[in-house]
Formats: sequence, structure tokens, C-alpha cells
Amino acid sequence: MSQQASVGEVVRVASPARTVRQRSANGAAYTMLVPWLVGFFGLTAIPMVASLYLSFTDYSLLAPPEWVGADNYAYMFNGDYRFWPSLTVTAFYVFVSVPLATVVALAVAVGLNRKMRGIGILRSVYYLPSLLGGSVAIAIMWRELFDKNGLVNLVLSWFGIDGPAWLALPQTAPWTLVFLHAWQFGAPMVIFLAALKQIPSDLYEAAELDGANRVQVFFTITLPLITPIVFFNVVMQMITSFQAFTPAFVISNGTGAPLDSTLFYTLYLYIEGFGNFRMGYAAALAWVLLAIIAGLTALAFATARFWVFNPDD
Amino acid sequence: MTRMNKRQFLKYGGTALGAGMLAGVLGPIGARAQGAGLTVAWWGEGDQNKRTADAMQAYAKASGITIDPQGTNFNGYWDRLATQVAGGNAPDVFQVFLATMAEYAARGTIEPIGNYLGSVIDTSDWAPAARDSVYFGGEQYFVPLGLSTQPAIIYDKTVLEGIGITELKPDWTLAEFREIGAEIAEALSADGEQKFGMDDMGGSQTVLEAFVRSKGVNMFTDEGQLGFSKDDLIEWYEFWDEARAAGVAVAPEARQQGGFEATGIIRGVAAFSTAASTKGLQGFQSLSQNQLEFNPWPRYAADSERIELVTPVEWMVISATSDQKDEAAALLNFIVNDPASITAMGISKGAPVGNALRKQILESGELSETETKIYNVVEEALPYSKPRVIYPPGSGPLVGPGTPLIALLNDQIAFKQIAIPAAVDRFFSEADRNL
Repeated sequence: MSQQASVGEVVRVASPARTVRQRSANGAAYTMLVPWLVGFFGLTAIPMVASLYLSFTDYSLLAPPEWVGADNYAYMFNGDYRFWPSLTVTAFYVFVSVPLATVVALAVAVGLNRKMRGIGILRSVYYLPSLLGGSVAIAIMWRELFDKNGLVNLVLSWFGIDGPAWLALPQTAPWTLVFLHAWQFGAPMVIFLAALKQIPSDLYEAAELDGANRVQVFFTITLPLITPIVFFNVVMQMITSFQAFTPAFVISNGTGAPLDSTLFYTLYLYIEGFGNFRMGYAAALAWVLLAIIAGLTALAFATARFWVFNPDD
Repeated sequence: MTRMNKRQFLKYGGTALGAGMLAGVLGPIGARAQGAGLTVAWWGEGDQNKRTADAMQAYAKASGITIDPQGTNFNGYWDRLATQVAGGNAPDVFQVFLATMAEYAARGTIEPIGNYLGSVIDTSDWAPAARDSVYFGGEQYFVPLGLSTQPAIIYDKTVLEGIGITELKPDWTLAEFREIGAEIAEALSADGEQKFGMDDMGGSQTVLEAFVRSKGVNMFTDEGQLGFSKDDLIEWYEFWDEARAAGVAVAPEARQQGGFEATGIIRGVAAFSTAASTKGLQGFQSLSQNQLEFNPWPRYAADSERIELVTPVEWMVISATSDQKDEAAALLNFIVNDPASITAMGISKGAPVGNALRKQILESGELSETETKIYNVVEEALPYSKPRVIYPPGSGPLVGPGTPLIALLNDQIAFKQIAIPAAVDRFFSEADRNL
């Protein structure tokens, strides 16, 4: 009976009057999508295709591009003395700051996941640094903090430590960027908080009855159950960290100094494109970055089944 | 007439919205094509932008033409300009400097101005240093905005006098510079805290240029190749490596990142610093209570001649795509030759290129003490000045702004990451690729 009805539906849909109405509905839908389509094609799809084409050209921005085949890619891996250092700096930043920010975010979320007076305000305060985000103002503040005569060294001096000029030394400058990232833990923290609240309280009650201490509870109940969120936060942060630009640009005044130790990949790409008039090469750098991010994201998903909790398993 | 139903409303409304957005996107270009006055783009820091805009405004008022002034800071300027040029929407007039002017000229984006120079733009009273600076590839393109000397070797006179050095001769030699540096380092470090004689200038392209010119060659040849040899660069890097090792030049771990405020003079850890040009003295002096002065880059040896570089630091050009080139040329004539413009701009572009104008302003009594010094150093250096060859396209990564290779290698040498011969080989192989 229900099968007949569904066949009837199909027949009715195919009737001429219905088709006209359907087309009209589609037309309205597409019309409504016009702003998005203009944005998608104008700002995303066409520029992406254009940048792929430009990555195979010698393009100075000031004169029309000239086709050079895979020369840009060949030079990148076999001659560019700044490519590998910039990739190394970026990889260091990503692989140190993302786990650090994740641990900090989780620790703060666990700390704030309790019922007490004023907890809402406290949570907001901890989220504040992320509201300011990767802004220029924060990066400038960071530069002042880690200056030779900055606040960090002032505090160190109270303990008799003569702090270095953090931003002038290639050993310490990248760490200031890592700390800046870790300090902006607000967004993953909020997501962790939401996840912590989803964990059924009866699991904790059962654990308590069994005499588990807080550390055991955290590692056997809390952490396993929120691994999907850990996974989400790590992947999202990894993607955005590879694309980080503003902190390095501001802290090094757009140069990647000292000794290219803050030369983030995107900063190098920017210098090549706009500073050195090699926009074709910059486009090639952008596509290699895309491949790196896509590859690492795929790797993360491939390993997920070994450590991410799946309730359906 | 039927009433519009909800779906039709949404459909037409959506189309109208989409069309409106497109019109919004295309609108400025359409408006631009109809001629919205003369667009003029430049960069400047602090009050320079206001001062330059004031000069433009003075001209707009006098001539009755409309000017759309687009002043911005240095970092934001180049992205915007390159994008405008790439989009066929270049400003009618825009400012350029040594590291990029050849790039723009070589790619046909700048209008040759041979037919304006000497007619619409009066060059009759210009100093030779200004007249020499308008060429690229034998063609005239650039209108110089002012004169300075490059580089500026700035010293803290108060500190020097404090340790008994009362006078620096303008025709001193490199050996004397090194010697005085050592003397200062020793005197300043007497209280136990290590200080130095001079900032590490090994990464400064303008100081390197002065060094190779003191040896009788230019930074680049007329053919756009490096004008100096590997041996010259080895000698250069060795000079600074030795100076750092001896505590004469600031050690790499004692350096700081930043602008004038990070220099040895301002931090009180050295008595010699450098700025790209002598007009940089203003920035230094505003941060120091001490009396700061210039001395030229030293002669190479006792039997070498004194060679100075009096040059513009900024130029303005007319876009090849401008449809108001005559008006643009007239504006440029005003900017560089009219006392009203010079008064409005102050020292921000250097001393005026016109000899009589420079004298007139200098004698007007309107200049501050620092500005007077900058005017005087130009006047004093002019007889010794020899023109440079404009840096060729592709020179930016080697000796341009930001961290050019010359500076990166100096840092790598300082931090013992590379040996000097290997660094020099790398510089020359990159030059082969870029030039």
C-alpha cells in the first residue's frame, strides 16, 4: 500500500504542471543562492583555479604571466634556500603549539567545569584572549612583553634571572610565537567545556562508588569519552596554525627575523609574492601548503580509529 | 496586473540583490574610468602622510584640479600598489624607491618623462645628484622628491666627548673608524658591563654600498649585474666578523629587534649606528637626549679619495596607464620645485633638489636644529658625490627591504651558522639567478 502511494507520488511529480512549478521553485532557490554563488565563484573557485594556473607561470604582478611549466615547483625543492627553513619553522610552530594549546585548553576546561558562584564570569575571562584572537594589537603587545626591557624579563629579574632579548635570538623568538598560540586557548576550551558537560554523570558516580580517584577518573572516563573533541580541536588548530601569518608578521616586522626563525610559511609566501614580485612562485608555495595540510589532515583521520572513541563501535 | 506572490518576490528580490552586489563590486571601477581627479599614492610614517597630503591640497587649491590623495604606511603601500597596477587601476602618480623603481620601470608600468623634464617639470636649478637619479636603462622616469646622503653614519657626540674624542674628521679612514670603535667599546665597558663601539652594520645594504664605492666600484653595473667581486664581499663580512669578535661591533646576542629604538646609540650600548639616509637623524634624535651627529662612511685607505652619495631616497613617477599625464607632470613640478610644497612637507623627503630653493629654505630660519644638520650635510657632501647605478630588477631579494640575503648571511655568519666563503658563494649564486 505504501509502495503504491510512493509510486503515485513519482507520477504526480512527473506531471507537466508539477514540473513547471518545480522548475519555478528551483529558479527561486538558485536566485536566492546568487549572492553566495557570486561569492563562491568570484572569491573562491575562480581565484583558486587562477592561482593553480599562476603557479606554473613566472608572474611579477606588474606584467602578464609567462608559462614556465613545473619550474617553480622544481626550484622550491631543489634550490630555494628559504623554503625548507620556513617549512621547518612552521612545522615546529604547529607541532609544538597545537598540542600545548590543546593541553592548556583541556586543563582550563576541566578546571572551569564545576558549579560555583561566578563561574560564568570566570569562563568569560578565560575566553577573552581568544576574542582578541590573532589580532595585530595582541601581536604588538606580545612584542612589547618579550622585549629585552619587557614585562617578562621584569618578572624574571625579580627572581634574579637576566632574561634574554627574546625576539632578537633565533633560539627564543619562535617560542614567543608558540606561547602566543598557547595563550589563545579560548575557542578549544569552550568546545572542551561543552564536551565535558555531555559526559553522563552516572559514569562518574559509578567510578566514585568503585573508589576511583580523580586522576583515574580523568584518564579512564573523561579523556576517552572526549577524544572525538580532542581530535576535532587538534585537526582544526593544525589547519589554522599552518596558515598563521599575523603573529610572525607583526613580531618580526614582516621580515621573519632573526635568522628566519619566525619566517612562517605564509609570511615567506607573502614576501615572495608582494616583496620580491614572484607571484607565480608564491602561488606554487600556496598549493604545496594546501597539499601539506590536506596530507596531514588525511593522516590524522587515518589514525583516528586507533585512538578516537566511537560510540558505535 | 497580478499581485506578486511570495516566490516571485523572493526571486526578483534575490536578482535585484545580486545585481546590486555586482554593481557594488564594479561600481568603483566604473567611477574611476570616468576620471575622479588625479590619484596620488605614497607612503610615509608619523606626520609625513599629513604633510604630503597638505602639499597636494595646496596644489589642488591653486590649480583647481581634484586630487585623491592615497597616503599609507610603508608596509601596506607595496601590496596595494602592486595589486592596483596588476588590476590596471594604478594611481596616476605614485611614489617609488631604490629597491622597486627598476621593477616598475622595466615592466612598462611607468611613463617615460623625458618630454616633461626641462619643460613642464623645471630641472634648471636641480643639483646634479638629483638630475642623475632620473634614469633607468637610458630613459628618464623618476622625479626626485628631495636629497639626503646615504648611508647615514650617526654617532653620539655626547658619548664621544665624554671619553675625550672631540672631533671626527669627515675624511677619516676605515682603519680609524675601527680604531675609534675599539676605543669607545673599551671606555664604555669600563664599569664591567660589556658595551660596544658600533652597531653591526654588516647586514646593511646601504653601508655595504658605501664600502664597495669606497673601493671604486658600484653596487651594480649599468648592465644590471653585481658591480663588486667575491673578494670585496669576503673582505666586508670579515671586517664585521672581526669587529664582533673583538667586541667592537655589537655581538649578535646583544642585539634587539626593532627600528631606531633598537639601535646601539638609543639603547646606550654603542656610539655609532646607521640609518638608510641622513634624514633618519630626525628619528634618532627624537629618541635621544644626547647630541647626535653624522660622519660620512670612511675612506677605504689613506690614499683613497672621499666618495659620497648624495641622492634622493624617494621619487614619484607617472603611471603609464594614466589618462592625465600632463596634469600629473604639473603636479610633480609643484611638489619638488614650489616653496609652498617644500614648507608643507618639511624634511620628510630630504632637502629640496633645487640649489636656490635649498639655500632659500636654509636661510629662512624656519628649520629646526636637526633639519639644519640634514640640509648642511647634503651641502657639504655634494662636491664629493658620485652617482650610483639604479638597482636593477631582481635586486630586491639580495639587497632590498625586509631581510635581504645580504643581511641574512651576515646574521648567519654572526651566529656561526655559515662560513664566510660559503656565504659569499651563496650570495653570488643567488645574484646569478635573480639578476
